[in-house]
Amino acid sequence: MEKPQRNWDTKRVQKAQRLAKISQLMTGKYVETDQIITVLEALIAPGDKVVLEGDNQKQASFLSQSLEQVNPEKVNNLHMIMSSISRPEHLNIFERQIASKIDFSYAGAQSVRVAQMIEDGKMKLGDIHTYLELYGRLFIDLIPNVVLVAADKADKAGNLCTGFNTEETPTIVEAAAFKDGIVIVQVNEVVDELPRIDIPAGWVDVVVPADKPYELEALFTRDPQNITELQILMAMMAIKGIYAEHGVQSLNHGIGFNTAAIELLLPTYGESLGLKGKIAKNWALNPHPTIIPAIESGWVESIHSFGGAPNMGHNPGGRRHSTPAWQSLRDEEKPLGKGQKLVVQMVETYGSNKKPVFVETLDALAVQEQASLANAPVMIYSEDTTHIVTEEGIAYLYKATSKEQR
Amino acid sequence: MSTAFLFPGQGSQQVGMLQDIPVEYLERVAKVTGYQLIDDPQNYEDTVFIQLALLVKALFALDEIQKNDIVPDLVAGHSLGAFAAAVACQTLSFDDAVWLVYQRAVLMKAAYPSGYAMGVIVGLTRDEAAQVVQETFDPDYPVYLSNENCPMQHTISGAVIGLEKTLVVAKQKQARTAKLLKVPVPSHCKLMQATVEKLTPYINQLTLQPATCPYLKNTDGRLTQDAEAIRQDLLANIEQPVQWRQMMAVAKEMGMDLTIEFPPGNTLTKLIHANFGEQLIRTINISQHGIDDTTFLYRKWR
Repeated sequence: MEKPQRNWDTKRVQKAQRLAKISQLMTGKYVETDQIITVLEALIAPGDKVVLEGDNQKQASFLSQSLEQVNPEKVNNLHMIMSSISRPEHLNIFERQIASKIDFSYAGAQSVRVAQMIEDGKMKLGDIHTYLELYGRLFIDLIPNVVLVAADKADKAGNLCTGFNTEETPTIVEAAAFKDGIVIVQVNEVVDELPRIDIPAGWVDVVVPADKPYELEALFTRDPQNITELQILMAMMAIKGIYAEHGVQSLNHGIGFNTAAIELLLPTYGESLGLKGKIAKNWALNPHPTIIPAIESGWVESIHSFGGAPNMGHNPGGRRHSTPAWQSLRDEEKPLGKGQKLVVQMVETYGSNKKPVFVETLDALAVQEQASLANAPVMIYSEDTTHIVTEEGIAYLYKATSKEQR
Repeated sequence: MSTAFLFPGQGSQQVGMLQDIPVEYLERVAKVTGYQLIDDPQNYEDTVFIQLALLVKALFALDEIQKNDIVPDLVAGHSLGAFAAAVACQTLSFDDAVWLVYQRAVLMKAAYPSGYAMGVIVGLTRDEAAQVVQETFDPDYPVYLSNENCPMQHTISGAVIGLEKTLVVAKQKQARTAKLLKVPVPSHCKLMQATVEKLTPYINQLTLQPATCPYLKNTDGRLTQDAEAIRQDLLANIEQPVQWRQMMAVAKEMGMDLTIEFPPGNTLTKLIHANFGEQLIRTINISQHGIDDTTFLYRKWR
C-alpha cells in the first residue's frame, strides 16, 4: 500500500507565498518607506503571532506607528508578543481591533491603559512573563509568524548593524528566521559598508528605511547628586555586611540609585576596608556613569553589558558555583548541598508616599484575580531572596529556618 | 508630544471672576437660560450661579485660545469642567453646554438646597480614606467617598454635619489636610441618583457630535471620541466619583507632555505636579499667565 503524499515544508511554502504578494514592491530586500502599510497588510495574516520590538529603551517606532494604520478588515485578531508595552500605539492597535491578545513582561509606561483594556475585554492576556521566560518561549511555543524590529544600519544586501543598541533584536530575529517566520526590519540608515555585521542578510526578509530614527530613551544615567544619605548608608551596609562577608566577586546590579551608591562607594569606603581585588570584580550590568570611578581605580576586571533585576534576581535551581559567595550559603550538613546565588533586595521601609513598603499581602494577588492569571505576577520570589537591606539593617534571610524567622 | 486642555470644576470659583468676561457672553447665557449672571459675593453660595459662572469663564478663555490656533490633542474636565471639555472637542455647542449646565445645576440645587457639601482629604490612601468614611458613617447625615484626584487626595460628599465628623477623624488618622470645599451640593455620590434620572430627558434632547480629539471620561478614566459615550459621561458624572487620577495617568500614557489649565485657579496644575512631579510635564495656567503669555509659551514649546 502506498503512503499518501505528505508535504513536509508547509511553513516554507506559506512564507514564500506571502512574500510573493509583495514581490513587485521589493528591490532586493528593500521596500520604500511609504509602502510599508501595504507591505504589512500583505505579509501579516489575521491571527498571526507578531513580535513588535520594544523595551524600556529602544522601540521599533516606525513599524509600530505603521501597524497602527493598517486596515483592521485585512489585519486583525493578532496575538502580540512584546517584552515591554511602552508606547501609545502599542495599545491603539488593540483599540482599533488589529490585535486581540498579548504576552508581555513589562507594561510600566502604559500600565493604566493595559489594566483598563483587560477589564474592558479589548485585550486578552496570554501571560505576564519574566523576560528570560518570554525570550525562551519565542523558540518553543510562542513562535512568531512575523517580527517587526529595528536596526541602526543596513547594507545593500540587507545585513544589519545594531550599533550601540543591540538589545534583544538578534534574539527576536532568530526566533522568526529559524522557523520560517517573516523578519521585517526598520533601519535608520542604508550604507555601502557596515562597520560590523550583527545580523546576516540571510535571516532578514524585508528592510524598510524609517522616516526617522527609532525612538531611543537611554534610561541608565544616574546623577550622583540625587543619591540620598539613606542610600549611602544602605550601600555601606551592603558592602561590609554582604559583599565582604560572602566574598562576592561576580555580580549583577539593577539600575536604581541603591546599587549606583554601592558602585560609587567602592573606591572610597570599599578601599578603606581593604576590599579591592577581593570583591566586585566581574560584572553583568547595564553600566551607567556611577561605575566609572570603580573602573578607573582598577576595581573592575570585566563588564558584560546585560542586566536588570527581573532578569537576574532569581536563583536558577540547576546551577552550581565554586565561588566563595555560593559556597558560603551551602548547608554543610547536606552532602549534595550546592550553595546558592545571593539575591539581595535593597529597599527603604517607607516609600515616597510615606506608606510602608513591607505589606501583609502583595497587590500582585489583586492583579492576578483582576486579570485571571494562572500565577500572581511576582518578579522575585521569597525563597530566592537571600538578603534584604533597609536603613534599619540587614536581614540574612538565608539563615532563617521558618516563616516566622524570615 | 501631546497637549491637553484641562477644565476645573466647582470649588475653583473666586469672587470677581466674571469681571473680565465680555457682556455679550453674559447676555447669551441670559438668552439661553433666562438666568442673569451677576458677580455678587452672595451668589457664590448658589450652585446655579457657580456652575454657570465657571462654564462661561472657561468658554471665554477657550474662544480666546482658539483664536490663536492652539488646539488640544486631548481634553479633560473635572466634574462640571467636563462640559467645557466637551465644547473644546466640539461635541457640544456653546449654547447647548450653557443650557444643559443650567438644567443640571437647577436640579442639583432643588435636590439639596442646604446642609450638604463636599470635603477633601489629603495624605491618606484611597483605602484609608474609605475606612474613615465607613467608620464614621451615620445614616442620618450620610457621607460617601467620592473623587480620586491623586493617590493621596480624595473628596467626600454628603451632609455637612456628617462631613465635619468624618473630617475630624481623618485628621486624627494623620491626614495632612481635611477640610470642607466650596461646593454647596453633595456631587459624585449616590445621593445624586435621582438627579441623574431627572436630567436624562434634558440631555437626550441634544444632538452631540463625535469629538475632534480624545475626551477623557470622568466616570471610568477611559478615552473616547464617541458622542454617546460622552453623553453618558456628562450625565452619570453627577453621581459617580471623578476618576481624575486615572484620567491623568491615561493622558500621560497617551504622551501628554504639555497641559493648559483653563480659568479660574490652578487646582488641576497642582494635581499634575502632585501626580507626576514638576519635571515631566510642562504646565501652563491661563489664570496665572494670561492669554498672550500662554500663546507665547505654547508656540515656544510646540
